[in-house]
Amino acid sequence: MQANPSDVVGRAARFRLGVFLVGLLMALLALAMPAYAEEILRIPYAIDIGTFDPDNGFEVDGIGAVNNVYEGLVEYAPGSTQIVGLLAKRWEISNDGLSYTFHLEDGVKFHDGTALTAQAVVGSFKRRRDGGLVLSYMLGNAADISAPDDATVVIRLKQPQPSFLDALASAWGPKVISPVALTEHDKSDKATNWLGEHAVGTGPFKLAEFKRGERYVLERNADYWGERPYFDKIEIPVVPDIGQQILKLKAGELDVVPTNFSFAQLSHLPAELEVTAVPSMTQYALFIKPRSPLDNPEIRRAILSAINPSLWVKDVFGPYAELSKSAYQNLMLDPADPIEYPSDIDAAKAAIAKLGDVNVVMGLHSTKATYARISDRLIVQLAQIGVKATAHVLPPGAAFALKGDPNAPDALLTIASPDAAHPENQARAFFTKDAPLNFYGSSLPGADAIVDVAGTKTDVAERNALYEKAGRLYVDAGHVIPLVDVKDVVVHAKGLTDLGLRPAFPLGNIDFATVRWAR
Amino acid sequence: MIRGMNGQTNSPARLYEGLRLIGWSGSVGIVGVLLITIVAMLATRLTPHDPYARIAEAYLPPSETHWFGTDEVGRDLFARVLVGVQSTWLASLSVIIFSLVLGSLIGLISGATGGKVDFLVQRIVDLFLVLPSTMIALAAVAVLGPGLLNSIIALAIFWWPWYARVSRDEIRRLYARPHVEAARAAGVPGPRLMLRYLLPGAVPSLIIAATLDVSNMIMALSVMSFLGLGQPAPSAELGAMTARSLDSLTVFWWIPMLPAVALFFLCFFSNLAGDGLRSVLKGT
Amino acid sequence: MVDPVLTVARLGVVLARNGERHRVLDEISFAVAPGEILAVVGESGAGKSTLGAAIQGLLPNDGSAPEVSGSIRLAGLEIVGSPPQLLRSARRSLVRAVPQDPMGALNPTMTIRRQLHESADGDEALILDSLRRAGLSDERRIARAHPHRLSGGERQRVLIAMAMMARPKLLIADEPTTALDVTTQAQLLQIVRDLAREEQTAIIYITHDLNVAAAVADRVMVLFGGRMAEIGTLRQVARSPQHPYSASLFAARYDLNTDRSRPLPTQRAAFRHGETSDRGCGYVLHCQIARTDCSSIRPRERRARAHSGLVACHRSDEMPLPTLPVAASREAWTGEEVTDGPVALQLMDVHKHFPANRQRVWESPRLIPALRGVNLSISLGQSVAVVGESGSGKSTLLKIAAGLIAADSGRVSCLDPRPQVIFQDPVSALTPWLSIGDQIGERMRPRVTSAAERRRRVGEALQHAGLDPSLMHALPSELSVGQCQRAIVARAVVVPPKLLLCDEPISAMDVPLAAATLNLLNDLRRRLGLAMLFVTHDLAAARIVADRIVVLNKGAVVEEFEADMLQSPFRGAVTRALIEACPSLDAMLAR
Repeated sequence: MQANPSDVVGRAARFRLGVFLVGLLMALLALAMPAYAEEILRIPYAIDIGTFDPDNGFEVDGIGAVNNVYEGLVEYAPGSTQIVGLLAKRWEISNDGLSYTFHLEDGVKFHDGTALTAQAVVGSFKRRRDGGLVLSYMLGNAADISAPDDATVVIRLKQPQPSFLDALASAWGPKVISPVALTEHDKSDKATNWLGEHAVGTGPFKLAEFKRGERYVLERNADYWGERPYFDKIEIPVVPDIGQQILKLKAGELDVVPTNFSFAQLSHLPAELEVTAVPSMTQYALFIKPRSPLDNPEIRRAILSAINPSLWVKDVFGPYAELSKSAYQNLMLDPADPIEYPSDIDAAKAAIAKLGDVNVVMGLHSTKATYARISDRLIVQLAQIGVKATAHVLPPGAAFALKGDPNAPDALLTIASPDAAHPENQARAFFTKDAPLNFYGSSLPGADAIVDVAGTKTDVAERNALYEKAGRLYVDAGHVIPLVDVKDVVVHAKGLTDLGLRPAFPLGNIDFATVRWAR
Repeated sequence: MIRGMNGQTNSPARLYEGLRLIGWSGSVGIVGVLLITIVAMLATRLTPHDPYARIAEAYLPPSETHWFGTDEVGRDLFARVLVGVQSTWLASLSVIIFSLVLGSLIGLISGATGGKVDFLVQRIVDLFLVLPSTMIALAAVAVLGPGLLNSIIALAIFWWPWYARVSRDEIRRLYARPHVEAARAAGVPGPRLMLRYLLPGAVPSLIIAATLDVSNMIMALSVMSFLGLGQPAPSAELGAMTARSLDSLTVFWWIPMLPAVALFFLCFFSNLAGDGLRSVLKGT
Repeated sequence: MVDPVLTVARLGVVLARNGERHRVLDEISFAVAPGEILAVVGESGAGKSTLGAAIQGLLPNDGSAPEVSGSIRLAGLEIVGSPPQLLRSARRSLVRAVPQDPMGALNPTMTIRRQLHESADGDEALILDSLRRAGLSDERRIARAHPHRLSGGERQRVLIAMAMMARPKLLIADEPTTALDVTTQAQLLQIVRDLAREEQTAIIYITHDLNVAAAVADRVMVLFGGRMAEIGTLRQVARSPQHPYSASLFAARYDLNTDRSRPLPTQRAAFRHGETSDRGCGYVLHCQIARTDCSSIRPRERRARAHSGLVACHRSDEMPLPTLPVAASREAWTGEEVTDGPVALQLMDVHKHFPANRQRVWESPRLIPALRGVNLSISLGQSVAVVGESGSGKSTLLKIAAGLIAADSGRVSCLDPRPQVIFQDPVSALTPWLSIGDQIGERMRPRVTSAAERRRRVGEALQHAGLDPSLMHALPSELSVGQCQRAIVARAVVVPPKLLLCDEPISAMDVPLAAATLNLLNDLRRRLGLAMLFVTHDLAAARIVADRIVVLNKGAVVEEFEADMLQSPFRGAVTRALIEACPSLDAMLAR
């Protein structure tokens, strides 16, 4: 079909007029906006939320949202590992360390209007303990959970557990769920289905929208018992690709990139962005396979000289990491006698030259870029002294099946962070013979015995000295090589402040209740 | 000029005719492929830098001393791209050649035997062809463990059926031709019939299929290395180099871009060359 | 004189084939008047079909554009260099073509009515009328049918109807009857003649068969190697050819009255190896009377001495040649006719069915009978020709005898476990990438292990077949069609089989080649004492090559008789129809 020329002109003119009118309308709207503006924080999640049920999922990104909708009895104070009260205003611990008595805050209401009572706490905690749910193990040591009156909760332990309060304050610690919601939606599944996508807690935010794989919205709880949050609304789009997150942040479509920002780019940020970095519990460490070339103390010494983190930590992380001082995160335990690696490269070179071919295979626990950055650098460092190293990413789940595998890599590069900020958790998770994350199943009975003793001590200094000693033994035996403690780095639009990043939480878990614009 | 009954035109004229048929794009492709092969053979001898050693600051942009700049740990990117071209090119050629030989022989036997054997083999080929071969190969590598050899094995296992199909169809077509009927009537025994009377006739089609397939193979291998299923670090694979530094695209563009550009040229030239060869062998 | 419809002047065409450029047509000039039928004859590769394509502006573009020089004026329109739209409209209204393969020219997904609809402007009556005039009496069934439901002859007639409907000024018929049997061919030739007379359509009729040309054409143009050798009225050229090539064409012709007791009068293949050049005469390597200047000076067309046409030969004044035809070698075949030798091939009550295309997936395929209880017996030393229209089952019979397919029922016994077959198309029956010697030697492989011995015997066989033994190292592509056919015969007889099967071996050959092939087969089978089964639709060839003729109709033997008794008044209806449909140049000349 051929258009008549005058027709074309007419159409074009109408089109231009249309564009003008739409533009005018948008300009007017833009002028009018501030008057109605809500304060909205836009923060992406790279990993989708599996379940919003606080008892039933080991969420990493999503746990931050869960902690803003639900509350537990105690929490880590924002920005520290110090434990402070939350729903419990104070508590007492019996002298035998077995009985914990919590006194609840007054005037707390769930999002559905139900008042918080001690019975509600007992109900939620028993659901956690007895429900056979993913996180049930966290209250496995609780023999009895009871409510002597409406405002008091008593928990009796089976055996002393010095880290019990850390377990309660953990990001994945037990939360209090509305008893009404629990009974109403219990389709003989402990309401796990309904709670997977809905939430009725006591926290400063309510779950307003749950669109799996797409976006989540939290709205401010107007009747919150505590301090009123700054933001009215938190919008959480799911953006799996970090590159896309960065582009959207630069374009102003997001306010924050909470984690995984490339360290190399942090020194090249545009002016409208800034970095908030706080120490975290992220320790990169190498776990060593028994009967690897590193068993030979001479080789190990040479290799330690080459991979000595002090040689490369600044190159890879800039100011955003520090040397690990012990087998525990620096925040968890400040050792009296920090480990130091040898640094004589020439001696190492000579040692390897004498010993002949040394090959080391590294497995990377994750595809995340930081693992590759570290391993690339380690490979180059090792090449310097004549050790041929290779590295490959392990398939998902493979890191947990290395025990007894003759083809397992000689070393596993992983992040050694326990679920609570307590040396007990670290040792029992990674180092003792039966530790679930003792990747290669190495065993050092002498050190395990020290950990057993430390667990019974209540004096913090005495206890930490024992943990330090045990940790030192694991390192000297060549089970683990702690490398660097990397900071929790959040990149955000300029002016965002009071992020409330907790070292014991997964990286980038901003406290939505404290974060605000500094104006 | 009328070609004499037994006359052959002299060879320079033939060469000229050949080039004219290949066309300028095909010629560019063939020259490109030759260059790539030379680069792949020489690889590290083309640069003074060690592709695996830290030889400078990290993140240096392209310069006179480091043509492609340096990567995240201060290795020379040009040296690494050369090694990447070498491993990608040689690996894809070896998978293609292996699949070509295996597939042709299976197709030859299937097509020449006919009957139940043909039916069975073709159903097996169908089965392989309906599967998404790259995906399955990925899964296989995930099971076998990463590494160049494993990638090659996994891809070859899932790559030959295509050639078996091409070969078998050509063989069936030839089998019905009078010259093969004549050879059968002359009492040529089976294996000899296959190798002398059938296979040579299928070779042009197979060569065309293979040359046009090289770029698919390069992409499949790159996807593997992109997903971390290729060779382990520190070996330089183009796909992996791009994948691992993709997040620095906006700041250190040369680290992901230049390996990707190299990859593009590998595919581009092999496709051009394949098209050129097809126009010669098939006379489209 | 009326203005010609078509004037071709100094037409030259260069085509690229497999990467090499060939001059396919070289300075061709001629004209065709309205209502005139011009036959274009010549061996395959002479450029006949290219001429037809060039006139329609349809030259194949094989990788590179064809180079065309000279001029083709069709009803005042210049074809050479015209834009594609103009050529398309010329093909719609001025020039139509009837090709050799009608299936390729019809759309398999449309009924005949739909396909004719466009040319007829939707006039239903016109569609039916033109089908009827093309000799299709049940026009309504034809119009309803899809092309694959029609026979080859019906398809050809549909194409003629389609061409007629456009009332073109010029019709190009490119071997339209080659694939048809003689009966259908005769009907089609009649339709073509009527078309020229009634519609004043000019017709270019391309054929390799002189008898067909004689049956249809007013004038004849003889092409050789892309050049015009001679042009003139058919009668005159046939009586006194002025070019050695046309002389050999007309001398070698045979029909139902040719003497079958001796070899056909043909030149021995006088092909000499050597280079032809643009400057000399294209026929010089075949010519018996060529002199040195023939290979250096190109003969120009000039007025013929003995007729009103044109000829391109330096030596045409010496025609007719006293030594032509090759009378010296025409001694009668020797040897007694064998009638009671051991039986080499016996078929008893042989049945064969083929599944027809299914109409619907769920129906079981209908079986169409191809052979219905055939009995046939050939003794050693005897030659039997099986003659029949297409679809009569004669090819099926041959394949069963060769063991290439199995009969459904009946008994087949063959003295030779591996009878040899000579196929219709000699070029495609040779493997292109193996040398002639290798392919011939293949038959000795299990028994003769010495390579030198094999080579010696291949050389012998080549000589038997009339080929230079040095050709054993050549590839098929370096041989002419005739040489290929001889190589195939050499392969068949290198280890003399008991039974030789020939599947229409001459149907696509020009006359001298066909005559030479018939002579060769006759000679070898007598010399080697073979039994021979010769399948053909050409009654004249059958008569020459066979002792006995078997007429097959609809899968059954209807008549069997001695070859000499072909013209007997007691022949049955089927045979008589075949005899009458045989076009004959001599009959035309006698009229």
